[in-house]
Amino acid sequence: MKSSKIISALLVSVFLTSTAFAASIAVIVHPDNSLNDASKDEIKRLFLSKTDAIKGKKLKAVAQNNSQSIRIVFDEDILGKNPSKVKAYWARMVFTASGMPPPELDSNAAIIKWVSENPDAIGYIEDAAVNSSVKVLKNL
Amino acid sequence: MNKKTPGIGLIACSLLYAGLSQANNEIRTDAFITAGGIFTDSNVPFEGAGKDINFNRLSRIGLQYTYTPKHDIPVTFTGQLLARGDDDWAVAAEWALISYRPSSSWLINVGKVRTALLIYSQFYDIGVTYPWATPPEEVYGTYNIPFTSMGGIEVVNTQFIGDWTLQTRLQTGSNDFTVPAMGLDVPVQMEHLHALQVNLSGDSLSLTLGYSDIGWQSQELNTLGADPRVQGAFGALAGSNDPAVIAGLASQVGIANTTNGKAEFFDLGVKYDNDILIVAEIVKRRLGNTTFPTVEAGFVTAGYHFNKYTPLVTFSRGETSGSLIQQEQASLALGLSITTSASSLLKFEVKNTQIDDGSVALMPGLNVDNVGLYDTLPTLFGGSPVEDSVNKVSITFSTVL
Repeated sequence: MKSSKIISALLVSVFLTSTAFAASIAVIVHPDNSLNDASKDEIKRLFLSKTDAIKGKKLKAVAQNNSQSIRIVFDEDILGKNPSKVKAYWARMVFTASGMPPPELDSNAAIIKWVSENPDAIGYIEDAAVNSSVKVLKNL
Repeated sequence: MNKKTPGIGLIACSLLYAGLSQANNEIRTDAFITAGGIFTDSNVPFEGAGKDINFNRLSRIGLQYTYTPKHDIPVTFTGQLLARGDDDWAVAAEWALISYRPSSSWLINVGKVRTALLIYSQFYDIGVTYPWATPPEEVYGTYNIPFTSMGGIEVVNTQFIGDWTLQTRLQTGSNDFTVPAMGLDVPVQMEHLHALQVNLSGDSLSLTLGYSDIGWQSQELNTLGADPRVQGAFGALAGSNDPAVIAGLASQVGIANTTNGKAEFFDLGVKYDNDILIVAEIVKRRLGNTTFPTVEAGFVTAGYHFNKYTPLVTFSRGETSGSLIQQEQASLALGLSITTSASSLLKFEVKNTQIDDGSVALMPGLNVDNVGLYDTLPTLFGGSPVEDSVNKVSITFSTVL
């Protein structure tokens, strides 16, 4: 009986994890931002601090905390790097004064709040968490 | 105040700035640590290691503080303190600079900057940025590049070409450093260093091309011929204790008549990092005198990422010319890099080096033996006899915080 509960819990855990990994990602900006679209490459370059603008519009990126499953998906699918390669990349950037990683926030709600309060902000959240206080720039 | 402060100063600074960081989120604190051990099977020290395990050679700790004022001018201030075990953990300012980003494509750093001569020159102290326990000594050893930073200016331009990023880095500055020559550390004043590094990178592939031009002078080279070991060796060779005869012989082989010159670095590197890892780099250091040698060196590394394990094999080779001290060797290294967390690597490496059977003719019928990267002079100058083959084992743990 006890072992079946453990197995059930594990299955639920696996299901939830899979659900989190399967969720699509929405890249969001402030509703007043004039940008209406961005390519995957433009988003990638901005979040890797290779540039600070998209289509000439300066933006300040904010990332999900690296313990969030959406962060791992974003890093691997959009930035093209696993967590250790991301760390090595930022070590090269930070310790040569070439760029800084985006500040991190702990949840979709915190990202939405930050983006909705900063006109030049850009972040990413799970698609299902989008509300009217932000504008979706790109679905990934 | 002394340029270097005791290691305890690093800790004090860390605590002070950690407090500031918490109180003021405009200050960002980053750190890197490498702890490691190294030993060889040789009685003569080789590449900084002997038979007894050396825990200082590869170990280092760095703290970096970045201050970004909250105003419209895109400026940041960065300072980095570095303590190396090999330097008795004395703390030194590795760099301190002001960064200005006038536009999205341009970045200007002014102050004490890390020199960008080779692919990994700027990250040499940060172990998580490369797969080896230590980058191949034939290319990255201090016999080839005896400095890591300089006072000057760095301009970086970034352009995007389709899926590729083209980054052009231009540096200019100067520095004082010491160069090993004839078993002595000779002070050298770098009058200028102009470095150009171009890097084209995609998702997995990166190509790097570099050229550096250095103007240097070292009046101390005039006194090198007066060192008792050098005088003794030349005196024995000349069969005379007459200072004029010894000085003449030293001058004849270029010891006493080269107090300034020019050095050039040519670098070509390629890196492919996906499931398969390939890194290759060749470098030529060209000098025009007989005291400091011209260096030609290179390496190729191949590995494969099995989840958190990356076994790798590296072949490296280095050779010098145009100097009395010949250093030619080839190495084969087997390594294993283990990703212990997203921000840390545990690395093992076993390296076998073969010292070439070469020599330099000091004068007709009298040759100076090749010593590879052994930490000794040739026997002709009172050094220890070296073996043709040497094995070296390195273990490091590196992390960033």
